[in-house]
Amino acid sequence: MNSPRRVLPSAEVRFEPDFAARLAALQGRWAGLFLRREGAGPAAWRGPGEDLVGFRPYRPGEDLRQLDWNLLARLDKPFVRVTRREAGENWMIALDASASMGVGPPGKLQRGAECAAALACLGARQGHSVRVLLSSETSTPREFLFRVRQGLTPLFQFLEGARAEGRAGLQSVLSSAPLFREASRVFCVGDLLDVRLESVVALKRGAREVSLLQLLAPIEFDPGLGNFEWWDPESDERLRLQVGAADLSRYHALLDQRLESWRVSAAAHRIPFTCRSTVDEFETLVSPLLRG
Amino acid sequence: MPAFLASLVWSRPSALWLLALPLVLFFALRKRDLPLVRAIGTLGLWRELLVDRSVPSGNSARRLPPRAWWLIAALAVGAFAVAGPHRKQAPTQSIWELEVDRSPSMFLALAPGEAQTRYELALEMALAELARLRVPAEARRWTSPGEAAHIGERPPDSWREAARTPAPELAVLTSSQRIRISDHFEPGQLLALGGVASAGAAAPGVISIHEGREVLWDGARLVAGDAARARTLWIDERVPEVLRTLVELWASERELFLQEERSGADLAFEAWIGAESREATLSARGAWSAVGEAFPFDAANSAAEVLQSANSGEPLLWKSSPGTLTCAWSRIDRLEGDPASMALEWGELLDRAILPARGVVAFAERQAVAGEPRLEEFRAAQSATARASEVPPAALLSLLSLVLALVAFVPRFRLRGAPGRVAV
Repeated sequence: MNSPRRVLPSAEVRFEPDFAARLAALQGRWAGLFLRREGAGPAAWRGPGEDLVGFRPYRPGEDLRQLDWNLLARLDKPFVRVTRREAGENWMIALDASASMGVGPPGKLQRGAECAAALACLGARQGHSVRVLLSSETSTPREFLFRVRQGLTPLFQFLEGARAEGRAGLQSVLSSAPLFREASRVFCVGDLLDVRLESVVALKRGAREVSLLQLLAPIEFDPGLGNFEWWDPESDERLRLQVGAADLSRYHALLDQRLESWRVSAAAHRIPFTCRSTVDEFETLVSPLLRG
Repeated sequence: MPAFLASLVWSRPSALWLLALPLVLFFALRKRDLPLVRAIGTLGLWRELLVDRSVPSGNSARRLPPRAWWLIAALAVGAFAVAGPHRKQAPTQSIWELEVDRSPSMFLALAPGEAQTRYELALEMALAELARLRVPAEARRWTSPGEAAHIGERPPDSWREAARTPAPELAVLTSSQRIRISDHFEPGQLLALGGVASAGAAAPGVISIHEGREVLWDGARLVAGDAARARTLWIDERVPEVLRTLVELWASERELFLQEERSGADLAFEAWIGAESREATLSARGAWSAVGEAFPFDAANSAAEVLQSANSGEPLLWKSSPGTLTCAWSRIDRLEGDPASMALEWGELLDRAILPARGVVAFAERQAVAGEPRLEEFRAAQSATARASEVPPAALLSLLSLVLALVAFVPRFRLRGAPGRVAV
């Protein structure tokens, strides 16, 4: 007998009324931080087309390539260039909207959409061209070009139109290589459960930077003890289990192992990787991505 | 088993609703045990865990733990126990033999000047006890010596006067479910018999009438005087002349009055006319004998009251019961032997058969019966009921329920080192 059709608990995206205000506050904090960024900073922030903001004294250990040789010659003191990203970068924010993103609460898609909106606003504030890509069951991902002059509403409407469904996840977006041709920076936001590292590494070509934000629901971090019927909303598979303490411990170990594997592999390719719970607010979630 | 179940009746059938408890518990446990359905994206990790352990998932998690089943069973059995099942008693077991003492003393007043008799008080107490024991009318079989048994709520009204029969033998009766209704109990009489005794005060009065004289007990001493009335005798015309003469002589000696109507006679001497007569000889221990023609009583007619003083094996030619003497002789041709011996034996026979005079109560019976009215436990009936089902089913079920509950709640022992149930 077939099990009754399940309903995903957090399949939709709804922005709270105060979300725009929170975004504005976040933008304010980060605008100052962008300007205060010194030198090359982390590798993630380096690349072509950097704007010079000023100079500061060299600190031992810093990359000598950022050393301003002219000043050294003139003043006989080492100074490094303080730069900021120049306007005109192309940011691509890929958001997973597969069915597994409906797991929650808090829903992964909801939190992912909030992060995407935050990144889009921050990018646009810096003068970048920002596109948001949503995984879709159709052959190509849904794409939205965010323009600041249009305000936030179209962005919110686009993201609120997302619904966690289907099996096409972030991997399907990453597979659409032409979409990223012009991108100088790519943010991948999703549970990454279907993502292959090779696809991400392939995306990181030339000076293009790729950041990964893996979002997992609290129940995926800590399923708890008891009698469960796990349901994979993408494959519709079900697994009935009596979860004991030992099982839970093994699960945690296996999950940690997977996350550590992602972490190590991403670091090896100089890809910033962050895995967080959807319990965290979007302000917290996007910070590691922006800091690089 | 079906017959056993069919024979069960319930003391508290409404308690069977308690069976809903185990059902509720069952469904509650089932509901509690139903898995929580949770969407999860990391199902693959769980599958890997299962593959590593080679333990299949399945519906085992939905099964109730054994102790839950024990508890459900305990509740179900307990509900049956509370309902009080018991075996339906067979009709023979449910009949109560109620033996009514109708000796003359039973109809004496309880106390001088009081209207209620010992009989009425004892009967009233017995009826109350029977009502308390919920003995239905159809299970009450009233008996009294000389009377046909009566089944009903209470004894016939005609029993409200003393039986003019000799007092019944006060043998120790051991039959179950027999209740004796009397004014006193003989020591040891109620070994296995229930009983009601009214007791009663002394009742002075006539204690004997003999040869036109009566003896009266005034409560302290005996006073002799002329009898107020004499007893009566009726003789069937078909009785052979020899016997007729003999009985008339005996009646004259006892100062009895011969009356024309049989009804009301203190003694009826009747002839028995059967289907076929034959030559008969009655030989009384060689002292005398009679030869003639008789209609011997057949076996079926040989009731218990037949008194056979003749040699055994010979046909019954006369029988006696209180107030009646029946003679099978149609003709006596010849008497042989000692005629005095014959007259003496017949005289004793007639003396035993004639009813006592009305109003005459033996001195012993007029004595006061000491003590208070008392009602002996109906031990016989209760023990009979107990024997009918040695262990009541309700008790068995209660015990079983207790055992099941203990099994459900006693923690299990686990061997050291034995693997526990980790999952699934």
